[in-house]
Amino acid sequence: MIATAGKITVAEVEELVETGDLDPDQIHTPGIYVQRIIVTKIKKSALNN
Amino acid sequence: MTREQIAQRIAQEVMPGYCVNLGIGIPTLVANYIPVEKMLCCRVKMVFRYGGFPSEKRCRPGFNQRRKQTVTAVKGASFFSSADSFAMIRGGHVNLTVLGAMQVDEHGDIANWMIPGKLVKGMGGAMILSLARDE
Repeated sequence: MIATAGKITVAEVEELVETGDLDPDQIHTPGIYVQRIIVTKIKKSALNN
Repeated sequence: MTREQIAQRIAQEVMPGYCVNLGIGIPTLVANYIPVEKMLCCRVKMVFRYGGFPSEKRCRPGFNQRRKQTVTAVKGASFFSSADSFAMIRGGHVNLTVLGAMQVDEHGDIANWMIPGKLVKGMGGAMILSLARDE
């Protein structure tokens, strides 16, 4: 929901999928609220340490 | 000019990447004339990136826009609530809105009250949509 408030919203994502891969019913934040996408390659396990 | 010709003309105003709000009536037809590659964000209440009317074969009962007409969802569509659609409007995320008005004068004053004997829900979103514009 906070994505709606930003003039520029940056999404740091673990996985970038092709258009159409997401189930329309499962999308809770439409892309209109996201202006930048950054895909990080850092593994989750590394962040936990 | 036919309804379809009017819709085609409006469709030319839609630029790639636009978030468009389409009202009831002729505005709904506009989606039929927006090429898919141009359609980044197009919605008629609750469906993001929706295509035009379905052919009989592709028709899915229950998949309707607000006026209960069936629509199609193009690849990359997402569904959202009426509350979300007003959040987009108030947040200034909509680039273009096409209102379906009942009565309008030459200055653009709109009177969307009701048609006696018909079940059309009054003013709709026109008030908030016209307020939320940038300039």
